[in-house]
Amino acid sequence: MRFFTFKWSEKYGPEYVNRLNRSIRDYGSLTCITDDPTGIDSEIEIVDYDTFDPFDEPKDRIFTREKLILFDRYRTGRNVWLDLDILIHGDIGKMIDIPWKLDRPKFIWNYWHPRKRSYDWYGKMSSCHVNSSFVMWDDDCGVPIYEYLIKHREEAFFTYKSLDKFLFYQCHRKNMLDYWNEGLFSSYNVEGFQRKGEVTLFNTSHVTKNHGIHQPAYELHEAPGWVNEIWTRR
Amino acid sequence: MGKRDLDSQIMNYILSSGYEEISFVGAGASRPVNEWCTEMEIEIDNIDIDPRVDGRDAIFDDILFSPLVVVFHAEKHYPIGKKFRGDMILIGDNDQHNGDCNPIDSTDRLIQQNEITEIYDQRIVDKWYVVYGNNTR
Repeated sequence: MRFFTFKWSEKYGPEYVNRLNRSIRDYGSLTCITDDPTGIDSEIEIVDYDTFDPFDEPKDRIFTREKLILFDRYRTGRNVWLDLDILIHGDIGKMIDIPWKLDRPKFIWNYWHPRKRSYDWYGKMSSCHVNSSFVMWDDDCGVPIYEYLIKHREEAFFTYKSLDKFLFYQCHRKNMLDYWNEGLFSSYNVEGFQRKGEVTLFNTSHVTKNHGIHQPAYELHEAPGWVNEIWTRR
Repeated sequence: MGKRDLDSQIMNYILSSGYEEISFVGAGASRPVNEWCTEMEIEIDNIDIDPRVDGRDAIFDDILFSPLVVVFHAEKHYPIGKKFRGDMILIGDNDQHNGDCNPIDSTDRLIQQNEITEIYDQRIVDKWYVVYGNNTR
């Protein structure tokens, strides 16, 4: 099995890549697409980030659209892309070792958000229930999503700031996405900093991008207690 | 002044157009203008990404528009005038809500981005910028 992650700019250091690799190396190999391989362990394959964004568009439109390039370039076998700011603290083997081929990539459904809010406000396009921090696909089953973006490139970049919103408002309603079962993933900053599921996400955008929300939100390297204990052991 | 005044203005445009089939984009399900058109036996194709209304996306889906298109929230999507040629009533605001990708701060912006070449009317109703025109010629 092949795992991928992206590291660009200076938000996250190489320790994020190395610790992520130590979390998954029992299951497969990690490839890091990066603009700076300094400090990344030698067993991790490096791909030059400059070869990985064919879109001449501002980075803040469909942010992290580079992930969809993976669907186009890696069309064989079982593959997983991972965000750097996740903490694997449970058994991901039971998630990724399933004995059938996926017909659509598996994304995270944000079970921690009230479903009603997203659907009541669907027309306002302000909410989002899809998360692309841990995505698994087999062979070329993700290609239709990549091709959908290519087909609607101008409209999509005009409309959506983030990849997750593009996925939720376009690919989800067209049944192009599959989802992990409930209970496997949790959101540290939304679910009261609890240890839940097998993998915990550390998204902070709901706080940093919404001026009306004033609550603590931690990046993975800042989180105290059980998170710090597990992450620094890696 | 408010949404009902805006709908009254839209209805005036619709009645003056003489069209009996109209596409609504992003109207939702319960605006006064929906009811007024029903009463006047004007057929509405109500295109709205909200699955409780219709579930179609006027920009991303293949849609055969009626001869007159009414866009109720131009601030929320790519300009319809780049997808459709004909008569259109365009409404947008500059509230800059979280989901607004295309804030509208003038009627000129609506005219320019929808490639309107003939302006039947343009005005500001409360916070809404409104243009009635055509981009065919």
